[in-house]
Amino acid sequence: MASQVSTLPFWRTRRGQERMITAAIFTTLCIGGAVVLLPFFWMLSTALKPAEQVYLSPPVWVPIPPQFINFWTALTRVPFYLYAFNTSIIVVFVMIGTLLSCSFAAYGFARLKAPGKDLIFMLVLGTLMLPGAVTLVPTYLMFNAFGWVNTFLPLIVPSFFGSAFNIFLLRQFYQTLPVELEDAAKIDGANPYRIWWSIMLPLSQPVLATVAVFTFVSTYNDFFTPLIYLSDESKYTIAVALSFFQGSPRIGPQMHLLMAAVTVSLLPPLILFIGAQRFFVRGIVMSGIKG
Amino acid sequence: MSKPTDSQPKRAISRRQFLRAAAVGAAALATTALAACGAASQPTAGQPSDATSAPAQQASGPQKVRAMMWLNSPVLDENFKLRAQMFNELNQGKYEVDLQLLPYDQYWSKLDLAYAAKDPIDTYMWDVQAYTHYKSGLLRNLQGDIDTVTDFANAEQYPLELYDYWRFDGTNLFGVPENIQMMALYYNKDIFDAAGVAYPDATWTYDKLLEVAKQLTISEGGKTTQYGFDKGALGAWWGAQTFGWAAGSSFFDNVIEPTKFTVSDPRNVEGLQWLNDLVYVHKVAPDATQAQAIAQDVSLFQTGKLAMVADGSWYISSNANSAFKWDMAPLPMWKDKRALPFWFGGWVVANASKAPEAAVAWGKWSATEYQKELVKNRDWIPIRRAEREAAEYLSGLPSGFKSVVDTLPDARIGDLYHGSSAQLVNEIMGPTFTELWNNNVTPEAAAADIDAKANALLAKG
Amino acid sequence: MQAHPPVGSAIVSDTVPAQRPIRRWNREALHAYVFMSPAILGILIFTLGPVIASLFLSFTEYNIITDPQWVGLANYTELFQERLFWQAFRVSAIYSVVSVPLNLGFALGLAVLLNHKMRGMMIFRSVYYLPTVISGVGVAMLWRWLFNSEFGLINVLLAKVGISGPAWLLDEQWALSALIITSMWSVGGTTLIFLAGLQGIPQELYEAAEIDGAGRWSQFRSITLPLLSNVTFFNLVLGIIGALQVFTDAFVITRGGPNQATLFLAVYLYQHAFLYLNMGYASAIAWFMFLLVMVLTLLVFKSSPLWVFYESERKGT
Repeated sequence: MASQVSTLPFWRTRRGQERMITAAIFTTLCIGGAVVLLPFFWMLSTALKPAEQVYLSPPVWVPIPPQFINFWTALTRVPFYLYAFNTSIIVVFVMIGTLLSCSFAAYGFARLKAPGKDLIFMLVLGTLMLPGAVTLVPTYLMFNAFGWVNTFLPLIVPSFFGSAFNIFLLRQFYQTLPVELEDAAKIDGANPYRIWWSIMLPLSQPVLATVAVFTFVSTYNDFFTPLIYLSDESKYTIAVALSFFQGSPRIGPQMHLLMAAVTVSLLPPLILFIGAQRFFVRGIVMSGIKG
Repeated sequence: MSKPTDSQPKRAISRRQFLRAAAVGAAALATTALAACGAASQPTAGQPSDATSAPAQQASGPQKVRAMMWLNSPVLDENFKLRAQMFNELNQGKYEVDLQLLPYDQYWSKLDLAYAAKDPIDTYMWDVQAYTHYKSGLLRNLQGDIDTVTDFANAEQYPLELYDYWRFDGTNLFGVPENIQMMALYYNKDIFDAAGVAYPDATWTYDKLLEVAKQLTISEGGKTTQYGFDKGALGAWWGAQTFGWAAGSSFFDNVIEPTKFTVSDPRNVEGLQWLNDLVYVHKVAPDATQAQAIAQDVSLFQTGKLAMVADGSWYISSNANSAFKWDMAPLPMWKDKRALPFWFGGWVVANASKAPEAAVAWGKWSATEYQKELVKNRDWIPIRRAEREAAEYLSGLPSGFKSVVDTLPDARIGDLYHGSSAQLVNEIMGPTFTELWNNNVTPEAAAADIDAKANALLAKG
Repeated sequence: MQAHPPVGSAIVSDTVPAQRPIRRWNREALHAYVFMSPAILGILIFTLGPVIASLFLSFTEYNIITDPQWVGLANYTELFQERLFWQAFRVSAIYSVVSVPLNLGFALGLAVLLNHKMRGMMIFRSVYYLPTVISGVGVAMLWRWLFNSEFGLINVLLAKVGISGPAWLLDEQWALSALIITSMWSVGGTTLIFLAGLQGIPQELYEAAEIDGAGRWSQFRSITLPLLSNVTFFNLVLGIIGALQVFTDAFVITRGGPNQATLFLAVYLYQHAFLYLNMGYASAIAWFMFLLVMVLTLLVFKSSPLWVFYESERKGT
């Protein structure tokens, strides 16, 4: 086509509209982002305050001078390196267990046919519906009978047997993948396990990354289960350490130390999340299937 | 099948890399984890396997005992750890305590779970929740152990007349008291000085307090910038009941196993009315919203904009770093009588404990030799008079502290011991008092409401 | 807009077509069971025992520290007569009805924005996800500050536009709304799931629609929404389950107050389980909640053929 001189005004052209939309989205996200980040600014500001300033009304937004020593006090109050190590062990194992077992189970629920599959799926989903508070005591007694109290086992082993949330999520995702891929694989003689490993897993990177991030965050933040099952201080995790700054009914929390500790503890999940962004790649599902 | 993988060679490589890395990483972590878990679980005291071999251990090593305490603040927690160390040093070879500190809520969950698993924690710090443990027969009767300590029978040193509150079955003690807490009137000396008003003292009545509070309340342009008084802990049920106490009544008939609530007694209602009038009639005290405008989540007193507040003796450590000068005085008198609450802090021992001698030793030691350390730390008020009145102890405390402690004979325990006490407080008294202090309901109506609901709950058994 | 009629229910029920050889069908079923085995084993080993125990406990009086005592239906009859139970039910119901659609819509909109190809998108996504990472006591204090009636940021901003804000967390009428606002701050998780779903929609479809002259809104309605329906389904079900089980924020920010205005079912349950040591009664509450959620979830599942679009339906029709 011979090039034409466009007679449309800028905002009517395709490029113009794209630019405007991008600008509008950018602005919206910035405003929303500022709103979302506001609590974090307050958190950081509190982390840098001396103890007396924490509860003042009107609140002090920028403490002068900033008490960077709060970070040091918070981190040295507990053996943070040891707790970080413990947390890493638990979190890594739970992530591996969850990713493998949940994607494995989800494929069965998503694609394969078997009698009673729906019933089993509803049962799996049902495990999400009973509030954990009432199964806590029987679960504790069960793990106690196994002899697993004061070890990491109650925290890690169940994750290798799937979790309803992630199985459900992965099942939904697998159901969006085109059946043609599997059919082609079956014609080539692949068994379901190979299909799962070579096709399903690679194609579900965005959702696997999501599961990884969710699992990391929930395991990382869980302070109740470690507190209940672990008696040795040497086995505590970072989340447990954060709960130490809560104070008691008679003595309020040391809010500046708590905020300092929380700020530091936000870094690992944040880094993981940024790293996981790599897997949020646009759908490549359809490439090569056309025709 | 070949197409998807061919067009994404990068993916294939990364999968292999991932597998390799995962295998290496998993192996490394597995070995370290097993090593860590194995090593760390060696010296644990009180595990089920340890418990069954305890008799054998007694012959060879120190008797291991598990103790628990809840977390408070960095300083207090550190002192508790030092206390455990001290105990172990003094009892080397004989007893060895493993003290675990937990956040308050999880502290009770862990105790309950340990009981459920039939492997109880040997000794732990008392609070009202432990009364349920007593009622279920899980606490050891400590009277026999206490009787062996001659010092405990010394009425000069120990407030024996107050111990009756802890004789749950009427005769025996099920806990060893080691400290006491009370209530006092805190006042901001700078504000008093600026206004040229004399400090509170033991002669004050609540009428005098109101008079002074009016003098010390400053309003500018319709907004109060300085309040004369905040009812503070008097707004809690255990503080509010003191008005009825002074007038000869009470909220319920018995501290141990009450059967009837009598909040509607006019003598109680009068006190509630007086407290509420401070906020809504005399306007010398803030309501919840006004308080929040000056200090979020913490007492106004620490902001320096409040002249006086009634609060617990544990409040001393919170005020330690105040920017202003402050002191304490006894709670004022009501109807010419002084009434105030006190509480015991002490140690209980589980009936099914596998190390009862060590557990009891811990409690006894805390109430005798360790009292000297309480003097140094000033975290709690020592129960033994020698330490309580020691010059060394008082020197680190506000000058009015002694006059507060001197009112101990007028004190009654500020607890409620019943199987349903948590429900009574949390579901009935708490919310109704909140409604009262927000002026959504009159004192008579609030009192009648509490009585009706509480008596219904007590009747259920 | 459905491209074609749905084939049966979304959960493909199993009828054996007469013409398929029995042997192949058996093998596929065997494979299916192998795949599902981790989940099945997990339930059998770790979940089934405690769940049955908690059902049993709901018929007993149990204070955790001593053995349970059988009381039959007493807990359930007491439950339905208890004023505070109905208060909790009301609180949870209102919260769920308002927050679930609100959060879903918000998360979807946000995910669409975050899906746009743009520099720095990684930063934006991290920012919006960050609130879900933080939890616990720190968050509570944060929100109590933000909702402070005098100096909290929310009332300060409202004052700038001339509105006198309420006392929020101290006001019975507004405390629940405050918690709904709090829940919207941590919508990042749901957004992330929508985002993963959006990533799975092939770009070619949009390009084809573009060529056919479809506008953005029409593309959204005919391509995005249907292809996203799987994920929406997930978020809806989990949203309902989550809303009815809200605990941490309510417990830690308002403790169920003021005057039971934020007494969520899960908070009410926790109080009876661990504060009052009425574990039997608490178990009855839990099983009521279970049935409630199960019924609602089944309703959503049953409705799904009408609006959820599965790839597996495309072939064979």
